Amino acid sequence: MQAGLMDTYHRPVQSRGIVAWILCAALVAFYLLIYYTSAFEGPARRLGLGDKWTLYGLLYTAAMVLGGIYFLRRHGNSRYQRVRTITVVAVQVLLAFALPIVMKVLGRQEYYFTYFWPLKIEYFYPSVILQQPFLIVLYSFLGSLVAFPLLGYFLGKRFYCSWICGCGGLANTAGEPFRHLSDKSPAAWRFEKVSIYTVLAVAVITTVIVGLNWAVGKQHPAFSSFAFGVQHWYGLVVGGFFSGVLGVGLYPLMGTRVWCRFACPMAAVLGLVQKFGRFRITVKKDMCISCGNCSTYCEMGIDVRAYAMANLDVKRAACVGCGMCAHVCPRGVLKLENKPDRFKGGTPIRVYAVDL
Amino acid sequence: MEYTTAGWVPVRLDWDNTPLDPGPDVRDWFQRSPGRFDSQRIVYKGGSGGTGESPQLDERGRIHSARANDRVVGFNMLGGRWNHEVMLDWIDSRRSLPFVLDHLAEAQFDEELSPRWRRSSSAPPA
Repeated sequence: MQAGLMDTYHRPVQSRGIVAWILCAALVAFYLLIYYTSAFEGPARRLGLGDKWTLYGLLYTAAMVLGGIYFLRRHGNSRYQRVRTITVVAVQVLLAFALPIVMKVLGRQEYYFTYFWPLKIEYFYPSVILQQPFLIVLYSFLGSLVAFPLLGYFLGKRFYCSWICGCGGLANTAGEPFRHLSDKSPAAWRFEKVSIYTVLAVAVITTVIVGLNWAVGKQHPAFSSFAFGVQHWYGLVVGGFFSGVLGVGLYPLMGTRVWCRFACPMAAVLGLVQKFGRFRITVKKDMCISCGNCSTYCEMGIDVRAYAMANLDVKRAACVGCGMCAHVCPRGVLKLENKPDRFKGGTPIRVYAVDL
Repeated sequence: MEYTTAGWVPVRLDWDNTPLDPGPDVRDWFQRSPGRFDSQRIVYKGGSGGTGESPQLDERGRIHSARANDRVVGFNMLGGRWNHEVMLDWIDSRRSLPFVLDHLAEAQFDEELSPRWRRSSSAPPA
């Protein structure tokens, strides 16, 4: 059989075979060990890396660099994919890995300039804010509350989810072999809408409770212990278990964007902005041949083919704008666009029998 | 290699390679990117070739008269992605060849960050 782009998906590791289950178990075990035990502290210190989180950052970054090379070998013929992948890997290497280490070496508190509230929920906790220099607090607030909604409106959530974010970066590089495993069923879509906005609501409520506790916690010890409990459990369940253990652990079984699709509060906010913003996947009318490459390649479980067959532009809160549907379309039917729609208000009346 | 065709592009050769006459006043504009396989052929109809006096335009820039000279009737685009909807819109609204050449990049449907189409320096004038 000719080794085309779709052929590799028949390997057992990429089609939920026994190898995929073993890989999933190994990833989950690794995450449970590194998040909730000190098993990796020893190896980290022997390697001269200080603590287990630096070791984790090194492994994560290495996975993204190697995965990025793998991705570029497969899809680097597209300029959009080339620029996007190089950007997201460079952001991870420089801003999310090297810079925090440099800050720590210089004796400053480390800060991740690529993460914002509500994804990095603690950046809105008063105790964290009070420890930061004023400029970093300003950066964090302007980013979360002004820049992100604006950029999301004009560019779609892809500016973050596919170009900057480390979670999305790992999914689009090391996770590339598993992107087709996302569930495209309407049931998964219904579940996604409930789960992601639930996590967003929990994130907002947690932030409010922690903020209130800082203001009035001293007078109300009962509320204070409740607030600490909420903060602790949010970090444990959402920050650790959902984003790490399940988010990466389920790559080989449920595709790469499990966390982004079902639980990321930042994706929820940007998705709402995107739904009312300019970004869309334009569908060229009457051109789809229903091959299904686009839906297969969609890591967010969007049935792109259904939109293309119905001549409807894709405007979904979930779309992270990775651009793979457009890249793999054999008829060039799809295009990611921010520009206002040329044919808004209906396509022009078509005269098929050209008067010659 | 992708291929887009829109409107009417006349057949030039019969099955036995005898040349076919596309009819009076049918001309085409053709360019091939140097060193690449992409080419663009735009068929237009009209005696003026776009160099004569301009036809009367309405407020939306359309040529009004059905008998107006120099209107584009077909596209053959080899390589790259092109939006046939935009091209059919130009054909429907009887755009002239100079107008279409000036706006052709708007019909490009390549992935974002792809190079913008431009007229090659060796291309024939409009």
